[in-house]
Amino acid sequence: LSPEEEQELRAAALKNAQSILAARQKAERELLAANEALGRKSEELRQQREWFAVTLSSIGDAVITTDTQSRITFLNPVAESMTGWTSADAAGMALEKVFHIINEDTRLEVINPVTQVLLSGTIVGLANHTALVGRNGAVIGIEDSAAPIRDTGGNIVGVVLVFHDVTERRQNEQMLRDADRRKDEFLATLAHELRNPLAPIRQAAMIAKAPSATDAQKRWSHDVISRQVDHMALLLDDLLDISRITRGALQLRVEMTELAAVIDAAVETARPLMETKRHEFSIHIPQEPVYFAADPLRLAQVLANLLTNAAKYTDAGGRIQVRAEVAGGDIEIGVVDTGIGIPAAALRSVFDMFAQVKMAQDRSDGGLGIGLSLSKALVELHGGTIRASSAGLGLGSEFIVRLPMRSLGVPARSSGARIAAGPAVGRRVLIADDNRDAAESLAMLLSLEGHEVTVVHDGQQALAAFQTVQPEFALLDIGMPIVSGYDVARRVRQSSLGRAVTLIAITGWGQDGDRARALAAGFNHHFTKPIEPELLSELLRTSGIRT
Amino acid sequence: MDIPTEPIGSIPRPATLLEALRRHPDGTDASLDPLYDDAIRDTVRAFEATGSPVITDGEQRKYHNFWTYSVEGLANMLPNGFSIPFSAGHVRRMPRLAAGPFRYARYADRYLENALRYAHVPLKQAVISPSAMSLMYPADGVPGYSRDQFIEDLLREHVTEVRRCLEKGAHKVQIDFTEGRLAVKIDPSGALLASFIDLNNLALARFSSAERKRLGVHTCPGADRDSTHSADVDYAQLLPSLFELNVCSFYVSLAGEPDRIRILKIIREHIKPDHRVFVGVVAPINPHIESAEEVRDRVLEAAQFIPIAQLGTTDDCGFAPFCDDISTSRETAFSKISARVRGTALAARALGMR
Repeated sequence: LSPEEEQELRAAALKNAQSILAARQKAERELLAANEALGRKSEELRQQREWFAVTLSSIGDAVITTDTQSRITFLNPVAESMTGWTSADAAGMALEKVFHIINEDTRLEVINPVTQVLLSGTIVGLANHTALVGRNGAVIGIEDSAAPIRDTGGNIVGVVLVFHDVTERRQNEQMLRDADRRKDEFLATLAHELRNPLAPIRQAAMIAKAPSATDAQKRWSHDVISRQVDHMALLLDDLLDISRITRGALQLRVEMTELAAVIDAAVETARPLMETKRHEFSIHIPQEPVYFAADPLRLAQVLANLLTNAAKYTDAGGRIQVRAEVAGGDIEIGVVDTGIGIPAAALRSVFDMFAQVKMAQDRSDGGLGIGLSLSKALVELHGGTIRASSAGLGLGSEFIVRLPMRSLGVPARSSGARIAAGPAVGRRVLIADDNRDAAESLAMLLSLEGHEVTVVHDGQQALAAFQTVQPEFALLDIGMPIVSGYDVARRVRQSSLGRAVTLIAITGWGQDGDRARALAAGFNHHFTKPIEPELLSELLRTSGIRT
Repeated sequence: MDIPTEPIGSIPRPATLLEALRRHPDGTDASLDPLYDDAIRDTVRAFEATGSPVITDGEQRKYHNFWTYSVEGLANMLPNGFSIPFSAGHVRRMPRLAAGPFRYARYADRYLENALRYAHVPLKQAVISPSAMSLMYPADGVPGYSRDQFIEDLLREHVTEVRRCLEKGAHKVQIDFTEGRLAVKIDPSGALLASFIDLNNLALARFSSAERKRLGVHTCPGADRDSTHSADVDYAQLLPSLFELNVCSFYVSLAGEPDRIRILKIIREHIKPDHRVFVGVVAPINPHIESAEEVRDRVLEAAQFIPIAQLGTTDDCGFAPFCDDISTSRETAFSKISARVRGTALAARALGMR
């Protein structure tokens, strides 16, 4: 090369070197920026991984992930707990070793969902009745699904398996099925129990109206009808009570109550049956009066139910005992019998709704199987407990009611106190009901007791009768045609004649709201159909007003 | 385990092709295509016949030379670029960039694509280095096209070419860096060489580490008409910088060096653990055809300085980097290649490797 050529080549090369240096510096800056960005991304990724790990550890479901060879890559704590394997121990193992699943019913192995996901590439749900066999051999009912894990290119890179323990849910489902079955059985029992009294009533009514019937036969018919109606009323009362308790609508009328009076009232209810079966009955209660805050009628209802049950399920000549004592600030009342007893397996469920021990059904002498459930609810409303014990079939039973001994801080009044009887004089009574049979039969009963009774069948007639009869007592059906019982009461109360009359609502609706509505319309009393004639008679005999 | 052996690239073109190229000097006439095709097929066949485990297409379609093949025929290139004087007394003149932007007219993957149709063994592809191409930008600049922009464009074009070759399935892509010692000759201070290393590393930085495992760099003092352009520059001034290039394979001419031991010592001093050095065991510019035993002895000599696991063999240079170079015949070239292959195998056996 000539010196000039060499010089030019050198100059060009060295100028290039400057540009190369600039390019290198630029590349280094870009690399630095890229490194910083990478650092930020790495930190973000680390945080995301941490967040993901915390999330997987926090969720209530079990999570297992695998690679595309069905080898375990991760277990969250719930999965560790359910399988019995730690994530570290399980890593790299075949899924089947750790997630061993069988059919709950057949106990045969179930096809692994991860395999299905890898084959289909879609989300796969577990079959029903799948159970996981843990490392310790424990079998847990499980449910859920497996899904493919895909990379950003859509390629499957693993499988995520999510499952949870359904043991409790399956138990609840079984309980619901059992409850539903018991409800169906109850409805069948109810239909049977309500139909049973109809035949004797119908037959007694036919006998009573037969021209050839003797007076004795007529009296017998009336007794049959009365007994059967009482029985039906009892069934319906229990039903209504259960309904109120279920809806939280039953309220206790708590007052200072004397223990012996409550027990006496209960014994009175059960005594006829015990006498019929010649039971040896004994009662052991404290000598001194025991007062405590309770609803005496409801408590008597509970004890009457226990005593009636004892009488039903104890053979003739058996022993029944009531004992009561005060212990540890509680009152404990026990009803013990030598009856058929309760099998151990049934003890847990005797207080369940509709649960009547099967073997006892043929001896139950009717009943809906809700008595003990109702009793338990009433005791619990008092803040108490009730439990049953039995040494087994044929070895008798014991029911123990335990109640807190509370006080109202007001003078005690015995629940057995009775309102003083008034003069047994005839009253002017107006009955207004569009159910003619109900109205006429009630009128007949009251007339037999010496009252002067007028019967009408709608509200308009009732208002007219107030003018003409000027009754002292008026029994008004609420759902009457033309003018309702409420409206009749309001108008009567607005008139000069209506201020002194005692107004009694007669209705099929017995909720507290119905009662309040009747009182607001001007009624003094609210009676639920069917009316107990004795209560009404007592009311008419007394000048006092009792609600 | 064998000692790997690879060729450098060019094989003298058949006489029929050279004759046709004299009639159509721009090399692109359609009538040349069958001749190119015949030359490639025959080269691949002869190459495979040598037993070489890796071959090339002999650069049969690089119808001008190994340096400027990518820009031949472009309108923005003038013929009066820098000159390379060879020891035989002739000068090779390179084109000069007259206007921007700088773009390749063709990428070497098209050659690879042709040869792949005939090859039964792995094919490597040689491409020119960015540093060699950088000399096309003139000292007084190009109006409206900055030197900085040129460097950026050059890097992008080079990276594109290499990546296309890798994607087409090249066993290796060899970057020809024959201007290394020439740079020291032009600028004895070493600054120019350092900038060449920087430039080439800028390009190499754009590849992943996996890609770089398939990249190599070839250095020699030039070979044209049985002469060199920079053999008079001490290798010691190049080799330390050479091993700073961010590749794994180095193809280093050695057979033509007067003091191979000294060169091997320098290599031993600067080789890095992830490097493999393919030492030249045949000299294309030497008419003497090496025997397999001579080659074997050169390999065994090299093995005393370079760990066997990092040693390979190659030719010192292409056998006809410039298309019109007829100083070496095809027969001689393949004989030398055959000697390289057999001699390398003998050495491997002598070293207990097979």
